[in-house]
Amino acid sequence: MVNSLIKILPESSVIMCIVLTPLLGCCLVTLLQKKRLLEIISVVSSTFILFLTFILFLYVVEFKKITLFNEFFYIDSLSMIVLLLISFVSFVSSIYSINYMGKQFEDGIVDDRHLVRYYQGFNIFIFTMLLVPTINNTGLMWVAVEATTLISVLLIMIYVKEDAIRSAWKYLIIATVGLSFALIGTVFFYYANISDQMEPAQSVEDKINWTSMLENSRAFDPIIVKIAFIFIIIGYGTKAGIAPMHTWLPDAHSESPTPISAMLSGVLLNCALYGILRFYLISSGSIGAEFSDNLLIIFGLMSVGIASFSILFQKDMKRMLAYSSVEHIGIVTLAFGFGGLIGIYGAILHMINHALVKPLMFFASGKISQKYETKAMIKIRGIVTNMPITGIVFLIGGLAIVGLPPFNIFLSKFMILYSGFSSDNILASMVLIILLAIVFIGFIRNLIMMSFGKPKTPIKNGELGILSVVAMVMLVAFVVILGIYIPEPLDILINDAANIFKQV
Amino acid sequence: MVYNNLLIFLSGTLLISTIVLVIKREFSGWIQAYRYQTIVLTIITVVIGYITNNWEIYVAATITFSLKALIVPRLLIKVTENISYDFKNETKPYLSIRTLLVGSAILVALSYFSTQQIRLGDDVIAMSFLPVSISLLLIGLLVMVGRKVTLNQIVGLLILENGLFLFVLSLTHGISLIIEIGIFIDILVGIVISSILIHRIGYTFDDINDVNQSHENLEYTEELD
Amino acid sequence: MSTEISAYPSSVLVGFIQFLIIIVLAPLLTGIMRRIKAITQKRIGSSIFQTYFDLLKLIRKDEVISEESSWIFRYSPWIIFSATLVVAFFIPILIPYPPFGLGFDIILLLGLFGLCRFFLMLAGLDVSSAFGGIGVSREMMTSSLLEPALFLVLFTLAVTYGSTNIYTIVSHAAEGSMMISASILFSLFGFFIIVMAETGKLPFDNPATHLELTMVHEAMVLEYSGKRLAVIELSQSIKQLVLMILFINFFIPWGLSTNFSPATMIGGLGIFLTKIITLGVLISYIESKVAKWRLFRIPDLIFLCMASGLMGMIFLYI
Repeated sequence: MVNSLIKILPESSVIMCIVLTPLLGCCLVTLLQKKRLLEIISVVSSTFILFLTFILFLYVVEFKKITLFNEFFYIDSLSMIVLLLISFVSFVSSIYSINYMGKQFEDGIVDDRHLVRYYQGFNIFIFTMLLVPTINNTGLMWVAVEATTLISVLLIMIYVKEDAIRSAWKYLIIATVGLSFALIGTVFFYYANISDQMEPAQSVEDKINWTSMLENSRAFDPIIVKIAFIFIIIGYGTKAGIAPMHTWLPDAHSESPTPISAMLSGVLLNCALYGILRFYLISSGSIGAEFSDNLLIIFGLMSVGIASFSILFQKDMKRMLAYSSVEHIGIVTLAFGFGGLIGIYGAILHMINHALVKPLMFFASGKISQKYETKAMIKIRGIVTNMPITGIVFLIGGLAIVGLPPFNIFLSKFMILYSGFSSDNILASMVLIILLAIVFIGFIRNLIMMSFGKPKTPIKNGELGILSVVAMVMLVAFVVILGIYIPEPLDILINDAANIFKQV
Repeated sequence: MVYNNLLIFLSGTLLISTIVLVIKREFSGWIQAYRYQTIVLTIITVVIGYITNNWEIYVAATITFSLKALIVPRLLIKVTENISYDFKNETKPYLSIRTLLVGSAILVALSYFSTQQIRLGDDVIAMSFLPVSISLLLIGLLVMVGRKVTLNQIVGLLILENGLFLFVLSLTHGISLIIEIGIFIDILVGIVISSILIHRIGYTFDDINDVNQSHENLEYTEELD
Repeated sequence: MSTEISAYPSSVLVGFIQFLIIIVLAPLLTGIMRRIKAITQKRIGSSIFQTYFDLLKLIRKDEVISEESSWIFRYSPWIIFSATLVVAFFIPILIPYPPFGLGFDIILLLGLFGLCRFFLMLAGLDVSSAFGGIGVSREMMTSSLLEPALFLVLFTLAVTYGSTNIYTIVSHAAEGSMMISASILFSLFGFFIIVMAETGKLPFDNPATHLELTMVHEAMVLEYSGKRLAVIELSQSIKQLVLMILFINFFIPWGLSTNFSPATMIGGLGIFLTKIITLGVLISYIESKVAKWRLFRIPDLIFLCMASGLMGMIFLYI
């Protein structure tokens, strides 16, 4: 079936369409400037991207890797997973945006100009994120990651509020400085690649490609690789919100418009993590996995630790969710450090699960804060009675995020802990369990208090808009389904991705 | 080895221009010193281009000069024209200027020491400029943490970015042009965005301490979103 | 090496000529620098020989000496003047060799200048006037910071050229290529700032002012008049010239004659005069571009020197 499909839709055109659609969307948004049209364009373009990504997904499951333009674009199973997440979350966010930004527009918080800017930024943001996993050239990958920073800063700056400006500034400075380190690491890897004269067949231009680096990785100078990987983990780790470089994350994620928070938390962190993983593969190929594994475990554990205590004492709903993102990225990092087929499988599954649950939580919390007109958790009571669907969705998301069965995160967390105990990392795994218990306490306490009880000031019952509910229900469906059953193509894809790690 | 003296001379000049940047307290002074530093950097770029005989580096030098010595300083001066004195000039930095200077000297020593650990072969350019670029990076970071006024963090960022450029150039003798242009565009857009932010900071905040105040300290009352 | 050339009659002659050049040229340089400063400020300014006329006028005038003052006040100008003259005997201008067969150590030079400063400060305190006290306290603050910086900068130089003897440093510098080490560049930068500070130039001190809030050097010599003032002013000019000559000889020594033939020596003198006037012009230009810094910011500049010297040291060992 895939073979006949590829004749109708060759992979080159699919990839080009995926990359160019958001740009086209941005151009149309700039030209048309009508509120209704802007919304339709964004939804159509993200739906189109989702559709094409799904086709590409089938191709990748069939052919394992797809390259284009002399390996300029290089898509294997790992990048396919990130691509799927980007397109799915941006699709859901675009639907949710209509409702959310519409409400902001009605309330007079944003005006026409802001809306145009928002949708332009939204499309460009998708474009830059799509570039990260598809490009083979590590230098350009860095440029794309830096571009996501800049464009998301612009999106946070939509509101002219003190808090928004403060957090945008913090985000811009910290992320830019952090990414400078990532460039240093990238250049060190490139230097290691050009300085060995083993393979004169390749031109110098191609030596910055990830595939070329992986091929030659055995000949790299071990000292340079070690230095470079430390720079990479600090650099991309800043963007991925790994502690102790996470300080920008709670501010940026809580001050941006909710659909953007969802995308920042759900996908952008994964894009940055993808950068670390690519170089992790190279450094494992060069000096063995032990060095980089230990680094990943240390940083991962630190993230979970810092995030868990921050969640325990958090007063702001969106900040609590942001810290939860730090925690989950920490868990994924830790899992990659644990290694082993099950550990890697679990880590990749956790990436997917987190990318599904976190947007759900942000969407629900965005609706809740619009309804109650506050983000302070003390003032929010009785969501389930006031907004039945949102309340239940919020509750499901909250239960899923702390890792209760039968939801998806339970499955991946279980795999990760299993691999931790089976891979001689008993101490780290035990600390992880304790920290997860702390997160559980902090999160569930706030969740229960917010969901039930009686609001302090009487609030009108009822949902806010049908489209947001549609977006949330779609996510809930996936959260529940993935907890019980992983579809076969997805299973193959994750297995392939895990095998990439096993090969080196 | 013919160029060895010239390269060492240039790296010394760059370091001096950097420590001159560190002692400035006024925003306009910073920008002026940054401009001088960039001019030195451009000369270094041209020399590296001449030694390696690579036309792409000349292009990079041209872009560096026009972007960082002409456009960025003018842009920053323009957006900060109407901003009040307190937001631009350092009166009580976290680290005093003397500490910064001594710290910079120590960082230079540190970066020279640390780059000794890397085997660079007989690459003259990398040997003379790699430590300088790393010390520029470190000094940029030090300046950023040492300043209280938010605007001045941007100057630390600019120093850091110059260091980054020199680092890439000295280690790889010109990464491919498309990547360099990408980096330049990122820098330009970053500066433009930060100048918009600076502009907004200028008219949104009343007091300089508001900018640095952490979220948790705010009184947690009604907030719209 | 040829640094130990014995005292030929001709070399002694050269030594005296050098000494005379310094004594005679010092007020002229001050005059030139004042004139250039005036021109950069769009004034016409006085003649470049005005400093000579001032000195002559001061010598012919009567003196007023405070009754409260002790012998320190009366003898200080002569002590300062003689210390400065001793320095002037040993500064190489025409040849980089010791003309009197004696080496001259850089630390001795610093010591002699320290002696001058010590007596100047004592004299300022001696008359127990308020201004003298202010000037002395400021001068003490600056100089206590300046001296370590100067030592650091000069040691960088000394280690690079392998000696603290001025003649050895100068002759090595003159023989060397353009720049044998980057550390020279750092000590150049540091030494330049120190020259500005020691000669009381603008970011540190404004010699043209008599505002009590800003003056440093002028406050110390406020009580002097007549001959003693003339002597102090002349010593100050000589000190400025000596520091500038050292700057030139350490960092841009090319053109210095390396033998005793009169032709090359006269050529070298011409080049030397060009260099010193260029340096004077440069300093005056910089002075007209900057404003006086607050007194408590001056340590920042001196720390800049120290950082520069420190970096120079680092460059030596890589």
